[in-house]
Amino acid sequence: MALDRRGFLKFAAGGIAGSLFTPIPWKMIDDVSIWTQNWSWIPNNPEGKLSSKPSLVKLGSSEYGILIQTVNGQPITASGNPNHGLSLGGIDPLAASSVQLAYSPSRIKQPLQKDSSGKFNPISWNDATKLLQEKLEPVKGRQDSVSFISGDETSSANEIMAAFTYKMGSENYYFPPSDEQSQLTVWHSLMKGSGNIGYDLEDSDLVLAMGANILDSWGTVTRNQRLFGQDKYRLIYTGPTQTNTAVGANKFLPVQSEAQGHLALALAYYVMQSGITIQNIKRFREFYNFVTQNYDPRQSKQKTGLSEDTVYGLAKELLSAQNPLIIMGSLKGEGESGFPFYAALCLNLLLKFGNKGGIKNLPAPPQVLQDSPSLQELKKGNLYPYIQDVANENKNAPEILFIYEANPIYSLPNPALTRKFFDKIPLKVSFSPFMDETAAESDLILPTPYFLERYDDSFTPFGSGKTNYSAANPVQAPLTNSRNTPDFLLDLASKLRLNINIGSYKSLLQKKADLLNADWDSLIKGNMWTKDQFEDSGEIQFWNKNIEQMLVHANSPASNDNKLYLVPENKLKTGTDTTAFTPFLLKTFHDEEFEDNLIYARINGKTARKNNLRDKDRIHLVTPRGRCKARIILEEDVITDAIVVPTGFGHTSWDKFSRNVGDNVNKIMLVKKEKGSGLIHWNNTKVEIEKI
Amino acid sequence: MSDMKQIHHDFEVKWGMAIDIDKCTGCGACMVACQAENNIPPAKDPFDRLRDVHWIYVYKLNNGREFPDNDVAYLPRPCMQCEHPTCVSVCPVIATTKEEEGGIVSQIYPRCIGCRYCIAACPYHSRVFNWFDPVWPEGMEKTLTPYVSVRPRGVVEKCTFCHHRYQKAKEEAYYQGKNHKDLEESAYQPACAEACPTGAIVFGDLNNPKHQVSKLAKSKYAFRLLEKLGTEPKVYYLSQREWVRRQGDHQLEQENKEEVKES
Amino acid sequence: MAKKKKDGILPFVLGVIAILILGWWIFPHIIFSEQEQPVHFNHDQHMNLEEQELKCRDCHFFRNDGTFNGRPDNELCAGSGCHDEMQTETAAESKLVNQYLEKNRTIPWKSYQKQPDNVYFSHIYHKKFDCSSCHLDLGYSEKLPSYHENRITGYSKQTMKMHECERCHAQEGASNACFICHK
Repeated sequence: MALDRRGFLKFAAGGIAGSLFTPIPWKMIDDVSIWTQNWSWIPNNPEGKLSSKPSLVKLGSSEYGILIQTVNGQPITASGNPNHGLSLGGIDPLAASSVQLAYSPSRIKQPLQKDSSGKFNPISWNDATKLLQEKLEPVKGRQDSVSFISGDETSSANEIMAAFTYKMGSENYYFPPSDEQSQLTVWHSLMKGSGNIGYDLEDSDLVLAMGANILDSWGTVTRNQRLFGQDKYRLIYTGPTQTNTAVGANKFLPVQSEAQGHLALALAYYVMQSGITIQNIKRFREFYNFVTQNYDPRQSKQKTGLSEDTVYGLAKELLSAQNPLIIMGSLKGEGESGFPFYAALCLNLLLKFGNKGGIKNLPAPPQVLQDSPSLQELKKGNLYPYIQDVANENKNAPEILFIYEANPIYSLPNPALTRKFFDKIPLKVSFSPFMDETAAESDLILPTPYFLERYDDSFTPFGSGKTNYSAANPVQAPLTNSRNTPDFLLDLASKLRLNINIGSYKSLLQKKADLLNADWDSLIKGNMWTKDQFEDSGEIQFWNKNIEQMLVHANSPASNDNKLYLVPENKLKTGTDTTAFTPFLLKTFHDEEFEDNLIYARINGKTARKNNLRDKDRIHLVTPRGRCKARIILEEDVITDAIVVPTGFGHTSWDKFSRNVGDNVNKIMLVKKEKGSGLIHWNNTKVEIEKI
Repeated sequence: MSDMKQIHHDFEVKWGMAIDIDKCTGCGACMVACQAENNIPPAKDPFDRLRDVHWIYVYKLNNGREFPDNDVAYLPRPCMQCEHPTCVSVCPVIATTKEEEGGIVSQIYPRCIGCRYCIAACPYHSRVFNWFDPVWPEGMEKTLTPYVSVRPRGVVEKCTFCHHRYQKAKEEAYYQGKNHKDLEESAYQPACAEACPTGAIVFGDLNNPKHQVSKLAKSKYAFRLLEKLGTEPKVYYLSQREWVRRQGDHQLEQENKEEVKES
Repeated sequence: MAKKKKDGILPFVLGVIAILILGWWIFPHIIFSEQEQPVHFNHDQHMNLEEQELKCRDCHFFRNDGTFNGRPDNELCAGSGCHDEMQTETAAESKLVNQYLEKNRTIPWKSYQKQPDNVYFSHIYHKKFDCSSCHLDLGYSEKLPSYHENRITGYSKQTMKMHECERCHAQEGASNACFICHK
């Protein structure tokens, strides 16, 4: 039988019919369907032992202990630490996205040096050390040798970094501006107080937050929220718009940012009228006279914009509370003038009925390095005037500028001035783990490990009620070729023969714990050390020549122009001054906040009608400093004549998630110097609107 | 409506939530924690709400009045885990069911064919479709959790009340010889409730008097979304403000002036 | 004509026979690839040590939270008294110590009961069954058997399919709700 076509076809037909009685088609269908479920580009789940490790958040906002869940040692998620006094189990959205941020595409993988064409090339740690040694050796002992900007106020790394600066002969060690800094200047320089201001929320029953976004971005955010959620205190919020704090608060009163200080003094009027005075305050009489003359009900109504009944009602609430507390701040967390802080501190002191609740006077951190400058004093140093002086050649530019955990090119107002300052400096060194705007404009980047990858600590973060101390071990090995900045500087210092008497950053931390009688092993397990430790507040004055100047200036009549008050609103979900919003934070943005790559500028209907604006109009916010693009959205929770703009947008660096999204409102803010306090402020910028 | 009741079982344990809208500050920690816990990738275009994947989403509400009488509130919306889920009844392949003790509506990704009928059926917009394959920036896929499988494009997903945590709590209870139908409140908490800084999200067994949520759900300030539809959601909301409660069911201004429930 | 018709059936029958042979004898071999485990582990040797009496649960145990550890991790193998030092001079042990333990690399064991990511299995509920009801009985084996991997799906030959789990659940009265076993 020859194999002809028919034979072959019959053979094939037999094969097909027979195959139905074999596993082949059935198994193939099953296997192929499984194959279609397992595309190779879909990542797989990890396997292994689950564990939990404590860490300390360091992303430019509140520092507190959190827990990092791990699989086989690999961090996967972050959650609050119920054992830590500043977390109490809760976590803020930025910290919740911190595990993933470690893998941001903007992570700097190794030390980089900028060449003449502006491109970054890798450089080894040894070469970088040699380079810095060469530059620093000839300028040792000079005032203009180095300058340092540190963005982490609470870390002991500051001791080593400040010691380095000081031993090089320079006193130019600065922290970027913040509400804490402005208030400290008022408290020490104007009111002759001492120590730090603490906020005893744990024992307060009524909190009046004036501008300070205590449930979203101010101070010890998670602790504030946790205590509020446990109904520990009633919260009243005053401000130009319903910030997240106002939404959570029990009551909201619309008050322009400029009027907050006036409201505090208007309340002080009623408090003093009820008969309350304070002992041990110098020149109280002059304060009393000034308030009585300038903040009677009729004048208060005109200055605050609230009705007489409202102010009176608020004062009555404060007076009937057992332990009231007033927290004054700005919506942006920095750039406020001294007057509102002064007014709030006076009001707090008037309302301090006992030891519990209210404001507290907390001591400065103890220092391990005895011949290092006092960090407490350095905290008051104002960065902006220094930048101004160097840019305008009133002061010599330093040979080297070091920047640690700060992003001044982005976060300071008047970026043109900051750039001019940068241009005057021959060598700028950034220690940032990420390619932020400042690192991008630096000459040398020496990345420090991400907070999950290093030892670090935090002493009494701003907003705390008691002295406290936290420390943490690294959770994962460094993902990049980085070196802990304090250790790097110690190494450099020993090569330059500057005597900094400590072996390593870790031993400094352990010595710090010893100084405080804190148990190191307990600290690194995620427990916070705390103590009821208070400072004698010194000889507080309510009045002197400078205060008088400040008050008179604040009470001068406002200019009657058609401009709108610019209210920059900072929410933690759009990042901080140090950290841009993270890849995982993008989930929190509403379409109400953002559209078509334009940030939303919020005004109410009355403001819109007055200025001939409509919903969804594309506009420029214009000041003499520049323009900021935005889109109008009509929202009725905004006070009339104010325009609210979110901060945190307009990044030009970082990664694809945060770069080139919206516009940066910092760049248009107008910087002024307050009479009396000398404080630089920019929160009362007024803008014109230009339709596009 | 009555034949729907016949399909679904009454379970001993009923996992539910009570979300206090007056405490919610709209911070978004819940949204971030949920994304990290459940292996939800960063979006291709996060500002395109029609294509982004959210299991829990925080809506912004306002009372519609002019300044200064305007009031704002935030409302986090996870899956309602309805007692009578409309999504379950429309699924052509039974990729979603409600047949497990605890009453959590399951969603099985390999079975889902991506027809999106359930998304149309869900009145709460709780369900989302994976329009794109998940992509994490290089290295970030190391932070994937072992708890939830990674979904390819073409399947629907939704909040599961962190069901994997329920599994883990049951496992631990079994190991310790405890009753898995009487878990302690702290044994099983979804990622959003655990993260919420103000504690606005309270989670627990609605049938267990020892759990806080069972009391909160009976509060006179408690309401549920779209109660008129009869889905019997297990997520209760609390607000002392009447305008918030009225928005739960799209009441017209003149409709049904509320009688406050007896607590 | 009749002759041709009779001839007609033969190719058909031959086709059937050929495919039956292919399907039942050849196909099961070619669909699976045969692979070896990364490290040659001798269970029998470990169960008969002079220095210590090892039981199964010294390496395969339930943790404090009720999860099962599965295969021992490097921390266990390199524990004190065990492979923190070389115990023998075999090639297998030197590969274990040099390539994996000292470099802290996880050993890429090939799991005979590999399940997809979307399956959730909890050993604690199945404690009452003998391990060999589902797993190969390797407790006293001298050599780990070859790993047969399905060339199309990538799963092991022994991987249990869903219907096997469902049947046993139905028989034992355990719930067959989807979320019991899926994630």
